[in-house]
Amino acid sequence: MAAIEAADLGAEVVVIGKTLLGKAHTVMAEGGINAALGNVDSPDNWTVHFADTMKEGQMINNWQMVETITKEAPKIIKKLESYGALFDRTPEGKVMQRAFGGQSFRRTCHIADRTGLEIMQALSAEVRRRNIKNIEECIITKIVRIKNKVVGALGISLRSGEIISIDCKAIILATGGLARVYSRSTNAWETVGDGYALALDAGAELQDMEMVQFHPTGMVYPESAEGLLVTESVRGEGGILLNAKNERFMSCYDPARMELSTRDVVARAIFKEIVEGRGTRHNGVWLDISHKPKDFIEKKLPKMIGKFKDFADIDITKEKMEVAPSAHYAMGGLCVHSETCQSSVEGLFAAGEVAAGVHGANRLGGNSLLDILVFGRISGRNAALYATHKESGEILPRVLKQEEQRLCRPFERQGVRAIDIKKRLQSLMWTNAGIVRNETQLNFALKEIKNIKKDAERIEVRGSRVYNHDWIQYIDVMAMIPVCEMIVSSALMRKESRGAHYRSDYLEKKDLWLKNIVVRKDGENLKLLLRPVPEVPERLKVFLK
Amino acid sequence: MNLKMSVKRSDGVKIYSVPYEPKMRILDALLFIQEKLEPDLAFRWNCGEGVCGSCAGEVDGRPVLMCKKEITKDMRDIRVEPMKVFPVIKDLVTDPGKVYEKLARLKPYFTGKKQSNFPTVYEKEAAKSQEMRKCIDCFICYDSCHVIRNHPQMGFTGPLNIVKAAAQDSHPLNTFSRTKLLEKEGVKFCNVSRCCTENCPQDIKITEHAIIPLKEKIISDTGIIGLIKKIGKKNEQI
Repeated sequence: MAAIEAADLGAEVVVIGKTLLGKAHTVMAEGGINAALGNVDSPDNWTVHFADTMKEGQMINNWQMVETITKEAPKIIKKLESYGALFDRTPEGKVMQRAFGGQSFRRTCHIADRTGLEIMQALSAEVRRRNIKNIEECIITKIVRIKNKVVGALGISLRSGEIISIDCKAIILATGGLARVYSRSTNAWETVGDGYALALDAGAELQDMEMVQFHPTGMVYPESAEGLLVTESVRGEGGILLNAKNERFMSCYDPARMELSTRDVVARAIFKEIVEGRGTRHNGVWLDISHKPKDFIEKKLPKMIGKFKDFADIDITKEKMEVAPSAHYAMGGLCVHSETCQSSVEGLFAAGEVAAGVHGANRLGGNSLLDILVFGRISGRNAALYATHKESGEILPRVLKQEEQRLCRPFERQGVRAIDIKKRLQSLMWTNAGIVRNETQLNFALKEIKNIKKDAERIEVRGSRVYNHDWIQYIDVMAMIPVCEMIVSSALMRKESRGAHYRSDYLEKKDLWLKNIVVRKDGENLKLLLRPVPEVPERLKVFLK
Repeated sequence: MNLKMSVKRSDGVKIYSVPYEPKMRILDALLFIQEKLEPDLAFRWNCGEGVCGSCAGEVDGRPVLMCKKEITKDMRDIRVEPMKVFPVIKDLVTDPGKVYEKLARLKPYFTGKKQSNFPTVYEKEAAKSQEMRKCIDCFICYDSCHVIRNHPQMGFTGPLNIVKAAAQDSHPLNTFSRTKLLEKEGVKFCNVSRCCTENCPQDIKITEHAIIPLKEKIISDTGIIGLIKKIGKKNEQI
């Protein structure tokens, strides 16, 4: 979306991706995209959407960004339709909307359970219409700046193994998230947090890094399907959660909203059921939609039927699904200007999951697809405007050489495999910085991350540079280490429980902590500071009551 | 119990022994090889759940998504190869770029009227385009196609691009027909053997819902029937 907008404003744009065009993690988004169209529940409007989003974010969101996405949402759906996206329809021929957790009305627009794929198809087609240049299968490893201004980026091309260097005036990070730093994740293979690491290294400020959303329902069995997303739409369309004793346990945690409570509440409830011994054989709980008519499930959740049939030999129209929480989304990310999406580094913009502000301490299902489009567009527009009146810089050959040396060092040494370090880090994060945290575990995690950092200096890579996965794993690990450090340090600092951040040693939510934890690089270390949340103006406060 | 995996790599076929786990996928076996046996074995994958369409390859000669292809009881000696119709970058990784070069000639984007308001579209009208829009660009249909495999010189655009074109042509608000563009792309060479439909991991009825209607349209627009229609129209004008 950013590329489309920037190109329409006349900027020369290059889209760079780790995968082939149109295959990034967004295609895996299933449930839908929120917009207060009121097509199904007519009293809905942007102010209710605003209030739902702020409340779910536990009031540490940036209200201005929330106002922007909730107001822009209907326009963005219209924009998608103008790109040919075809949402499911109501009997009157309007865009259909379904119920999602934590929302006052049925608001989530969708295309069965493949909404992300549809959006990606529509956007890829627009990129092709405009002949926007795109470099596929390339990992950016460094943002180069002179003083506090972006001059370009360096990376490797997977196909040639060569270092590539791009001089540019502005960069928009739209890298997606970091959930693959956890051993159980709903995310695609590529989502290891590169964007956050690049920004930190470039000197940008990040915030809310402790806020990691665990999706309540990921698959648990078989092993090859572990972590895969089971869309919230299953519950939105009437699915219920049961423990091994066949009790509908959500009645103990949120009797009013039951399965459609917010994601943090449902994830912790499932976690607790499992920890306390009421879990299933594969350490999960049951999710059941088999009480609904077969043709209804076939129409609404075709992908879920396929996923369970293909991976687990389970027919969800007749049998229960086994599920457990899985790392899903990072609410934190770059601190960006709420109107331009520019970070604290000049010329460095960010949009979508890698940027912070919209979701606060927890994200509503259906708000992330909205976020990427609304702020994708805004960042594209502002990056293009920024670039029109700036001189371009240039990456010095010395900087390129240094980066090449850093990247290629593992080919010259003997030591440990990157994949082993990666797995160690992922399981460390899952056990010690996951759904429930405490000081002892977080301190242990921080110490271990430092050890891992040392061990990573001995990573070796064999073979050629062309499409070498071992080398990619090394690059991943080098990005994951600072990302994990940011998550754990921020989680240690926030001595309360709020939204997705749950501390077993500080169970209460405290007004004192109506703050954002900001992190940036300070030499080899991290510097953390507290920043008060921008206060919601009176004209909007009325909607929050 | 171990599986025998013969993997066609850039420098020849290599044989690996991989311990079998119930419900294992081809992708799991490849990840095992990469992790434990051959760190630089190259293959492409991303989502691991059959939506990104990155990991297509040929297992025992048949194009499949490797993340979805389960290793069943009868499979103990497994042959894994890259998709045959594309140039190999390394091992199982191929370059499918030529499909998109062909696609670019088909206006592969929405060509409908600009709407000032939300358009009214009924579910029934949307159904066909929605079926085509399930396509995940995995290239399996392209790799399955006999015309593409055996007669690349014919310049057939291939099933994937016909699906993409059908997704636009059947859009309820579309105003531009791609039939003429497609006619130039060798659609006549397709002998409707249904291999694309049979192998499509998204269960799109490519032959029945995209190719056959297109062939019929070409005949009715341009063949003898088209000629009669044209004459009819002229007469109306007089």
